[in-house]
Amino acid sequence: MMGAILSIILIIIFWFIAMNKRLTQKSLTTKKLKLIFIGYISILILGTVSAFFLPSSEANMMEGLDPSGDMTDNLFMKAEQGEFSSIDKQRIADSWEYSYTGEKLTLASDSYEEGILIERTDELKEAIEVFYIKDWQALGVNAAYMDVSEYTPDMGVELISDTLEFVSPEEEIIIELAFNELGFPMKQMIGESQFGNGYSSSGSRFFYIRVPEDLQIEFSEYLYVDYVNN
Amino acid sequence: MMSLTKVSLSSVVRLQYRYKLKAYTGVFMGLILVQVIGILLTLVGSMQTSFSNNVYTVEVSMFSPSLVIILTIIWAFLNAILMTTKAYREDDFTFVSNRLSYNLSNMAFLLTACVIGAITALLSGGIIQLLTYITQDIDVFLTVTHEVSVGDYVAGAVVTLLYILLAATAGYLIGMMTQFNKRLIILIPVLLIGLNYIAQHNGNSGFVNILEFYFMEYSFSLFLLKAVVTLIIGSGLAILLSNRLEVR
Repeated sequence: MMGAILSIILIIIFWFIAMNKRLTQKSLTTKKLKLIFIGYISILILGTVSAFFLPSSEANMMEGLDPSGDMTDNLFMKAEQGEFSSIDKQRIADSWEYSYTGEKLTLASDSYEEGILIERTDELKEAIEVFYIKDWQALGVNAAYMDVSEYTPDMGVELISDTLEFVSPEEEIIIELAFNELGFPMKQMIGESQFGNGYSSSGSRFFYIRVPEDLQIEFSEYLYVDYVNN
Repeated sequence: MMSLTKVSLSSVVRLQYRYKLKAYTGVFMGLILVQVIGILLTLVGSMQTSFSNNVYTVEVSMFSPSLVIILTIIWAFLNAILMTTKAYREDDFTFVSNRLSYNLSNMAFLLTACVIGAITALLSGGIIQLLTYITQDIDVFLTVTHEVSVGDYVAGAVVTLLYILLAATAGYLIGMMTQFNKRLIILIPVLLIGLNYIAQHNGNSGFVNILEFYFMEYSFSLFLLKAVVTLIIGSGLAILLSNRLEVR
């Protein structure tokens, strides 16, 4: 922002110095000036036409998001209250099913820091079901919010012996997105405010694990594990 | 020497307008310069927003033609001021003309320049997108098209033109005021800053109110009404002031 203000000031100063000479003074012939102007407009038109053929995706703008925290739609809280079945299936990014006969299960991870929710159920015998739930990931774009969750990597799980390991990408992934915003008069006409700074805000991202009722579960104190209130 | 040929106002205005289109080429070269600077600044100084945890970082760079539009607005404002200076006024005495034809031809020229400025500023969005794609290491390019109808694009283009015209009219009026009385060059900014200070001191938002009057108007028809009324009042005042300027 400061850069933009500075450049505007510099241009104004430059303008007055340059235009101290008459606007009608010509160092170039009219023909050359015409050619420069036609060339400039041609480049702009060519750029606009080419831009239509560039690979792009539609940004998922979020309407009416309150980042200050309306928790009624929080998926983790819903699942914790025993309402896992009411969660939109589209929010289940991945799922795994393992047959498991052991009496004890250990949860482990090197880097996973988000929530793990365990549901003990009598519906399962000698099996474990794991679901990875991924809600929105909003990034502030001026006063609006854009959901970029579809570009974020999913977590995985592996069952090795009696250990359920939560696997994240080996290295931190950097996802570079470019957002072609509309000019401010266009935004004004679609009712989007020019003012305000949006913040980053996340919905729920957690593992939901269904286990047999009598299975003993152990985990490190670094993991954030909770149980469903049945 | 008196001329016996009777020349209509419209033919004089047309003649002066054509002369200005051919003579004031610097205006259009300035437009190219300003817009190229705007495009380059947008490419190197894009706004960024990001989110990071220990697994991934999402970085979104935002590009828009807004800076080019803003610089075009400033270009229109400054050119309109320059057109009111004595050197430019004297150009019109090469023709058999009066104050009205001088003002009308100036306004027609500024309107033409503003239309060209608005079109090129809006077209800069495409070249910004293309250059971003070529020069930056981007995984995915995001756009907003589904939520925006053709009508919104047309309305946005008209609003862009109106903003540029409003700036040109403001520049033309301020230029005329300062030509009318040189002391106004200092008095106008002092008065504006002073009035804004007093307004803010009394709990009013001052200039913010004026900005909100235009920039926070989301209804196209109301914006059109506000802009057209402002343009008529501004142009009318400029014509009135120029009529009171000393005769050459």
